[in-house]
Amino acid sequence: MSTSVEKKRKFLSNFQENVIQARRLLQSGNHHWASKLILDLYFDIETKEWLNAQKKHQLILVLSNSFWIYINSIKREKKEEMDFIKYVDAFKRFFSFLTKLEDFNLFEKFATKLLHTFIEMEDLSIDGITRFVNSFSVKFLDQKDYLKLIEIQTLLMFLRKSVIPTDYFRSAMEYLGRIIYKLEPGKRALFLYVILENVNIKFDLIKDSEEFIQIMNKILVNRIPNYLRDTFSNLSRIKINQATFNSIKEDLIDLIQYLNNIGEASWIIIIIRTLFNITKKFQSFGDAIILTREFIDFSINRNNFQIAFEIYNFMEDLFMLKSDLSYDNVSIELWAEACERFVNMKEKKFLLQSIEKLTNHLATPQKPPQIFHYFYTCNYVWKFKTMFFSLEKRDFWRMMFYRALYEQNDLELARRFIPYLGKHIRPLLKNLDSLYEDTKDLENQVYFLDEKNQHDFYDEEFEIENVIIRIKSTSEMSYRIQSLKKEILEGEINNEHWNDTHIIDIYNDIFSNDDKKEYDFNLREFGKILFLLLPKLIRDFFKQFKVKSLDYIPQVYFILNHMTIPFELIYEGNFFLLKYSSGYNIGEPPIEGFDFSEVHIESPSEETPNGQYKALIIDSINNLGPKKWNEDLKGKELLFPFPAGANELEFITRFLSQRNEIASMDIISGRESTRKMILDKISSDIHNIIYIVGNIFYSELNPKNSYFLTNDAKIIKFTEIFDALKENNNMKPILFFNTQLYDNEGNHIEDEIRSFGEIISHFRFNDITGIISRNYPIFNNETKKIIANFFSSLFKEKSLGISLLSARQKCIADRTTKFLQEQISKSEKKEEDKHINIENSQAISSFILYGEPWKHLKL
Amino acid sequence: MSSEEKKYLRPLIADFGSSTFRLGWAGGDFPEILSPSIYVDVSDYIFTSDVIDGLEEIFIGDIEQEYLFGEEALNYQNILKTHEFMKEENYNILEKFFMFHYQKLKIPEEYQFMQPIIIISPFNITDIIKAKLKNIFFDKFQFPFLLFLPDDKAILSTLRKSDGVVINMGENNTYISSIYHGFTNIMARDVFPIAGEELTNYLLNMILKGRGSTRNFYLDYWLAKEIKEKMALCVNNPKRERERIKEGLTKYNRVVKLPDNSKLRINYERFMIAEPLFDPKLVHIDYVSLPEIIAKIIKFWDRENWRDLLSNVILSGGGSLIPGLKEKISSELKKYFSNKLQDKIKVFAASGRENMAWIGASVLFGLDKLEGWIKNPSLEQGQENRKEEKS
Repeated sequence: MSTSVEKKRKFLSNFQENVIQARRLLQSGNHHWASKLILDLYFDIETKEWLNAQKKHQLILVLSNSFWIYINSIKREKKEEMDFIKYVDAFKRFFSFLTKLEDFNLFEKFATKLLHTFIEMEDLSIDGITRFVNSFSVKFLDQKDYLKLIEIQTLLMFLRKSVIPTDYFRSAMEYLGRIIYKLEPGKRALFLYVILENVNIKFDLIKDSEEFIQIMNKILVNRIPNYLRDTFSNLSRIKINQATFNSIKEDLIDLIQYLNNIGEASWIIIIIRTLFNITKKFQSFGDAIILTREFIDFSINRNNFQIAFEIYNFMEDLFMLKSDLSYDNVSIELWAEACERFVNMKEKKFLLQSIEKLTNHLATPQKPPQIFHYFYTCNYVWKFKTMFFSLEKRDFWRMMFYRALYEQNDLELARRFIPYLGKHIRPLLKNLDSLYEDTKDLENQVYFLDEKNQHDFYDEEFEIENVIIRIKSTSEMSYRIQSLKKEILEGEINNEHWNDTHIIDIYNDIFSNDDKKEYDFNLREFGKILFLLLPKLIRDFFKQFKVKSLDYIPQVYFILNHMTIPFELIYEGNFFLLKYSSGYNIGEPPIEGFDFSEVHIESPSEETPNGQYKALIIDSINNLGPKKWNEDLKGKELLFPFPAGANELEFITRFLSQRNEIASMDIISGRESTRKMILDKISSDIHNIIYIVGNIFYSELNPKNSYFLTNDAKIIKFTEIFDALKENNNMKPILFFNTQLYDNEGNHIEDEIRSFGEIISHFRFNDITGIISRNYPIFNNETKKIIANFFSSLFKEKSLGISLLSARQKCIADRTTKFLQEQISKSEKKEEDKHINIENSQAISSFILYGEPWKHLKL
Repeated sequence: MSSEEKKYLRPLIADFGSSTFRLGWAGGDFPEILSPSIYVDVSDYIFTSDVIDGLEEIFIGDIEQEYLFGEEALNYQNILKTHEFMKEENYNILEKFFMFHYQKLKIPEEYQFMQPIIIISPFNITDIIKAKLKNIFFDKFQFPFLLFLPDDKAILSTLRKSDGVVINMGENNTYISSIYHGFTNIMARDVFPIAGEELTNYLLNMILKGRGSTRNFYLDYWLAKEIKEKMALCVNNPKRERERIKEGLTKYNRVVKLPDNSKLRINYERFMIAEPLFDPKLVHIDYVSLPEIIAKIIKFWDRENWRDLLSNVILSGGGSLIPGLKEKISSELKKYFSNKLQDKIKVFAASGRENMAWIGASVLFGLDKLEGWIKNPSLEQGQENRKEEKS
């Protein structure tokens, strides 16, 4: 999901810039260049493999809307004031553009809109409309959309008041005959009636449908093909009134089911429209709605999603007519429901179109219940949109605001998000407390799309012991939870995908060295945002920990495609996730699955075995070279200096040498640190701990070939290190990396966490116990303490996850104690973050465990 | 004569340039109307669509105006096909075009079509063309008088000179003619086969040759013309400058932002644009260079006249606006004359030279030096008829 975000962002910003230029060109009458630019942009979109079909559709809509906005800007009230030359050329180029798209719907949508405007024209050129409809008919024939072909040919006949016997007319009659002959004779005239009435309603031609049918019958009388003559003559027998309503209604319902059964479902929608109209006329509007809704279920259950979508569209028209233009709950809920119905489909076309409809209806709310409804819906919109590649910040912040205020009841945090909301919304949230008081209970009354409490873990008895959360490369999330009683819950999050684009922005902003910050969040707030970004179900898991994890330490294992943000920073309302035993698997999980056998061998023993472990310390900090000439200093200086690494090497050497648990220790440093020596030691000698401090030269194109530069001016690739470990697979050591990363051009890589994750995602962990890495090249008292405490716990046969956790906890405890002492001595009371501040968190969160957290250091 | 009559019965000077049309009152400093010599047919679209039919019939079917002219036509340059009526020699359009602009002068109805018309014409204007113009201005519009004024004479009069070589560089033609003490020599003049259009096409070819295969690259004639007008220059030694560019010289580098936001980088093309004038073979025309033809024209005169002619080489017309052209012609011209005469060479490139012929005609009118008026035969006929009626 998060790969090449920069590339995507750049593409989108270029796209936006070019769209603005195309719109400018259109406005200046430069159609030629504008259409060229728009077409180039379209081809550009089509060639981007990383853009999914839905995002492509969105961008194509932006392009087609550019034309449409321009065309509308040419329109004038008075005909004399209109520039018809530009108008015609713009339309021609627009339709030519639309035919180049794969999606025919857009062409049809806009051509139909234009057709509607023609119908309203007083002095319509008969020759012109005939040519227009016929050229339009070609497209319907190509698309095999025979219903629409029949519709527009019928419309043409009505507008001309005569029949022009073209091939399109003959084709329309032929296809009409084909479908009618599939029906039993008794229902043919009714079906024909429905088709003709539908044309009248769709194009809003005359008030009385029966009159329209009579007119059409007259126009067609001498031109009806023989095979349709009987059906047309029977049309006059159809009379819909109170007396015949029930039987006709039943006939129509039969027809719908029959057409569906014979694979002609595309004709159903017109019958549903007629059914609605007559039910409304002879029963009530409510009954008509209920009946129509039944056909949504009918269509979806039979996988006729297109029909279901058309019914939603039809219902939207009905509700729009009934409501005013202000905040429209009914339409919003209609399309939110539609989104939910289409969310599980593999083809997301209908979901995307439904989201578009939903967002179109999301006008600025006014009253408190509307404001709640608005943000509640925005939370759903975010969930739906995460299924596509979406970079719109406003969706992110609206969702955040809702979750903070109504799901976490955190008014202060919600208040912090207000500046990032839209300018029309901000003034409505001035009195947040009273808004919250007025609306907090509305959740029980509002529409609901999710299945509530889908898992038993909400049951108090289900005590979670460990959780595995997997985020796939396609951004889908899945989980596996194990209870203390060994019950297993597994599942996928279907209604929301992981989209970390915005959170990475905030993370980078917080940890960037720039003085100018876009966001003003501290680390605790960031942790809360990260927590809120998780789907509700996952958040509930963590809450569950909070309640029941007092006497044991739960394990959290993340399986990610890319390492982007340390999840230890998640703040679940009480504390950072740092207090849990957590680990990462980057890349695909092992094919044989995970071995949980070690999960429960935590030894309560505080005794430490003496002289059992062997350590290997490798220095690759390049402090002997390579060097470069510095003209100012008149001397050479190191090209890749790593002072923090040098300090750490010294520290770890001293620390391990003083530990009784260490039986022997090999140190490869200085001139000895050669390629041969390092590989020999790793492959032949037995070590439980391998501690590597140095510079990694990262290959973006082939991360597993990233390498260390040794002091004999040779390189050791990661593949070689892992091959050497494979050769010597008896021991399964734990690897400890403290590294700086450089790219091919020798530039320091800022985003170390992701790049390091990328490297190790290419290796299997069969030959090692795990990897601890550091994200920031810092070395201070805190990191020393963490390292010391980590090894102390590890030597006491604690698992990797628990060891890292306890090392962190001890550090946090020391820090908090010191902080409180300072506060007491100063007698000051601050309302700020009392638990932790960024500086020490950076040290604490800089240690990441890759591998299963329940594993132990092996002897 | 009332002041209104004085105002509206002055002659009108019309210059039908292939690129620009100029129309204004004689005696004025500048033409009232300057308009591109183009027209568009409102139903002749650049883009022809086979997708949707009938839109023209529905929307434009009853629009009366068939053509748009000049600036109005320019507004649709990227929508309708632009035609140049002078290049097409379309006198039907010329008539409509003149009428359209004549009306812009807002002459009261009682004075309409009563002005003498001065038409600036090249030396090689044929009798057939004259007849066509007479037909338009005398028979159709019924103007009373017409004068075909040679452009070289008008240009010289602007500089108050009676002798010199005039190089009038237009979009379609480059005319070279010479006048000595007010006399012309029919041997000492020529139409040089390279004009603005050839240079624009040459630039277009140069650019497309380098980038033609690039996906998405597109440049049309009108944009190339605009680039030429804004960026062209002349250098003495283009070969050496090209080599210097290869070695890293950046002073010629310019970036042109095209309408689709793409960027076109040009450097040597800027000075190569004008090179066909000095080496016509570059555009596949077998002809001598412009300086050589100037020299030849001068040499048609007697040797003792060369000095006067050489010191009055006058550049005029929009095509002569290229910076450095004057200097290059001056230095190239030296190759064809002795050291003694070389010092006498003087090339004039007056500011506002693109409108020089029109201004010259206006000056000549002010000096009352216009001769050769043709009276509208129908008026003569009318007078005779009246005489007959009186008698």
